[in-house]
Amino acid sequence: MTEAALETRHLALSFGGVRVTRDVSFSVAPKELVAIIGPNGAGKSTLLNLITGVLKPDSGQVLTAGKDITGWKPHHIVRAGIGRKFQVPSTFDDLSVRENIEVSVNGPGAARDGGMNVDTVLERVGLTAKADTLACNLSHGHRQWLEIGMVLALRPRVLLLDEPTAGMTPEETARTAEIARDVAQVCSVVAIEHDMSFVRALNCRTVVLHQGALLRDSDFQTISEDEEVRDIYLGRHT
Amino acid sequence: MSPRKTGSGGLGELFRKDRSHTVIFLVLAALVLVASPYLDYYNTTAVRDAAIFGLFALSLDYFWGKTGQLSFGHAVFFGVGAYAYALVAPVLGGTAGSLAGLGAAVALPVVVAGVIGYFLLFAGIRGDFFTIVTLALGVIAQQLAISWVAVTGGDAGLVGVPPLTLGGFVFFSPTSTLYLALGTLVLLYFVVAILSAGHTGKVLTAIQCNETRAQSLGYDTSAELLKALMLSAGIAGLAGALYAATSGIVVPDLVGLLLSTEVIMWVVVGGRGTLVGPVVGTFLVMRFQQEISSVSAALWPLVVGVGFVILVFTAPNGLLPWLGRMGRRLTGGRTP
Amino acid sequence: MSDLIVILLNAATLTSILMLVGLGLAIIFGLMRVLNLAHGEFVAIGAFAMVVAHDAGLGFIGGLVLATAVGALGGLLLEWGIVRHLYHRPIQAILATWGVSLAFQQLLQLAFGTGARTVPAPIQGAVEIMGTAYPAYRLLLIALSLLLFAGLAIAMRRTSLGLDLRAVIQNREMAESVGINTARTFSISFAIGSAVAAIAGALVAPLVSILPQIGVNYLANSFFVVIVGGVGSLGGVLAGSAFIGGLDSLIAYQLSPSLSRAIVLLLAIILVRFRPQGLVKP
Repeated sequence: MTEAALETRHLALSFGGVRVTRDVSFSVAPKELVAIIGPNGAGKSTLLNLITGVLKPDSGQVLTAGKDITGWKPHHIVRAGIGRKFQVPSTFDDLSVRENIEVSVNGPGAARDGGMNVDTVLERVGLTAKADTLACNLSHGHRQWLEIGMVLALRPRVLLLDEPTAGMTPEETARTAEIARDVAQVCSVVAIEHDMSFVRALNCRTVVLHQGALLRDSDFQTISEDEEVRDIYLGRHT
Repeated sequence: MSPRKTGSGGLGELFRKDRSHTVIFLVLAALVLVASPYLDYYNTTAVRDAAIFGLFALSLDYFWGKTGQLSFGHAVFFGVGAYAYALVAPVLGGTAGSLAGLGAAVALPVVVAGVIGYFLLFAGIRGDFFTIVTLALGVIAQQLAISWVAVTGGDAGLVGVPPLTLGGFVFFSPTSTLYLALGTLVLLYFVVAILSAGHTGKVLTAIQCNETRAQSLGYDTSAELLKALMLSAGIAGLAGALYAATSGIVVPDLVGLLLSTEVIMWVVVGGRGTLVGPVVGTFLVMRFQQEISSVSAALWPLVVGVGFVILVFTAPNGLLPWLGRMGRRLTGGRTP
Repeated sequence: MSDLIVILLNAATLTSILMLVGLGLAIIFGLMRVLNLAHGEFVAIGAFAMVVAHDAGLGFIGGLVLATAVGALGGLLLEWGIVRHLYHRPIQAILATWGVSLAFQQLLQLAFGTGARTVPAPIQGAVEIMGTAYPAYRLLLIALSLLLFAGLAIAMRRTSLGLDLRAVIQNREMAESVGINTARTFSISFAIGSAVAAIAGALVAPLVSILPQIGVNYLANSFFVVIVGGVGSLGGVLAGSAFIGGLDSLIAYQLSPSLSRAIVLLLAIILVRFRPQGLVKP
């Protein structure tokens, strides 16, 4: 039996009496591509923050490759193999594209037997031609890809993408889906998204969150035909 | 840590990235060297002091320029280094005393920076809060230096600090102390410039750009900042020791707020983060200070104060970078 | 027993002064995220206003009025001329206000000379408290400071300016979008904060040697008041002042003033490590 690359067990968190995460259990197999969807306020970002150690759960566990990482500090969780791409593009603006990747590869967050080759990363995210451009001079879409590249360069076990296509053009969104599918050849990818066109392009296992709880976990086809999921997205069901 | 680092480091990287700055630095150092035999006593000591304070400015620029955190009490490290040398060197005397003095002058500021930095940086104190806490430390240090008479000699300070002695050679004549200061400055410039151009510098730049992102790549950013502060404090302490050894006297002003302010001014004038700029800035401002002080010594703090305000509004990135831009504009070159 | 009462009253005196100086700093920082390093100079201005008033025979009340007026006017000028242009550049604001501070100290020195000045207390003599004689003026200082602080606290709750001020501290964008004139709120609060610091300087003038550099110590201490107490709340200023003022007076009773200040500030740094948000969260 292969160990799950990422597993949450009965995660729960309340803020001042509001239960923002309720008993969330799911697991991601090695090199699996998973989309987590849900309307605004469904608790998607909170779930990511719980996994990456930004928030501590009231109860429940987070495991990677069988190791319990619940309550660890964020930078230790990165070193345990969980990489995260933020929602807002966050790159090192005063460094070149190549240097951004280098800081990542040469850092303590890279896999123990070394991060990825810088040129391979640049190629994967399609930024080879921009290697010497300063990050601040990149377009919004390119910065998002650079950030994916920075996390990918760590050679993580799991790559978490927090709304990677926010603010992107349709072409860029399609290209991002391609990158995500390609990256899933190397590691597990968990993408949080509410843009349906992106999730459709990923066409993978899809988990639906609603009011902090796990509502559905199935393939995209089934989810897209689910009446209750549609109701939630159209706001008919709260 | 990964076993191999991609991207070359060391001298190669320095010359690839910062060639113009390094060349400027070496040309200026060579000019001083060539001119040194023709300088009179007064100018020899003036240039020597500028080299020592230039080293001090370099230490601040490594921390402030690379990490973006402004230490407003940097003279504490300089002054602690000066007092440490003045107190330790005479105990053993000779070469052993000088070496022990230098060791103490580097080690003590590093320890002070380590302790203070640990409490501040790991508490998440950054930006303007970091600046004012370090400012307050400067206030305390100055008061301690004045009131702890048994150790520091109080307001009168410590006099008769032994000159640096290495293997029988005593650095006492103005020219020899000038070479000592200049040699140390060149050596440490390369240490700092190579670090800045390599992995360490990139990581610090990364933290300055986006600390959260750096954390999410697995970096313990507080620890990285602490290391940078400790290195900076060690260099400042060494500069303080050189000042004590060459001038022969240590006074509370060396840990004081005015010196902390002046070193910021040298860095700002020269251009923060350029390493060579702050050294040049030190020479220029100190030369200017001599002119002002020949009119009235009391005028200088007033000039520093007004100069600060003017600089912030006209050339926040430094006077030299500003002049460079103006120069390019006048000669019709492209401005970035 | 009598030692204890003296220590407590000394602590109350120092706490009162720090409270007034820290108040202006906390309001200005809470509102505009600008650290005004020239804030200490308003303490110096207040103290020298007392000197001028004494020389001119205006008396204690005259000195207080003069200090308030000069402090408020100086605050307005500083805000208008410098600080308002640097709201979003915190480090540059620090450098510029520090420049103003240095220049001002030097101007005070040119105007009043390098020697220390003193002014007599408006009321002499001592009051007996539980068998211990304590200078009457210090008690008056404590009472006036508490009165002023309480008055400002009530004004923060009851006046429309106070409401605007609290709204801007909570959420600047929201405040602007409901029509609060933030620029005007900034100017007036800056003037009030500066005037209160000047009043603190005027009140402390009879107790100290008045030097042009007098502001720096109060500046350093009141920064710690704000950091230790927490940003943006009057309760925080009170807690921070009591922490710094209380410990300083306690330790200074046994050790030299400089050493005790060093110990207090080191304790404050250690406290910050474990309570980065300050003693009182807004």
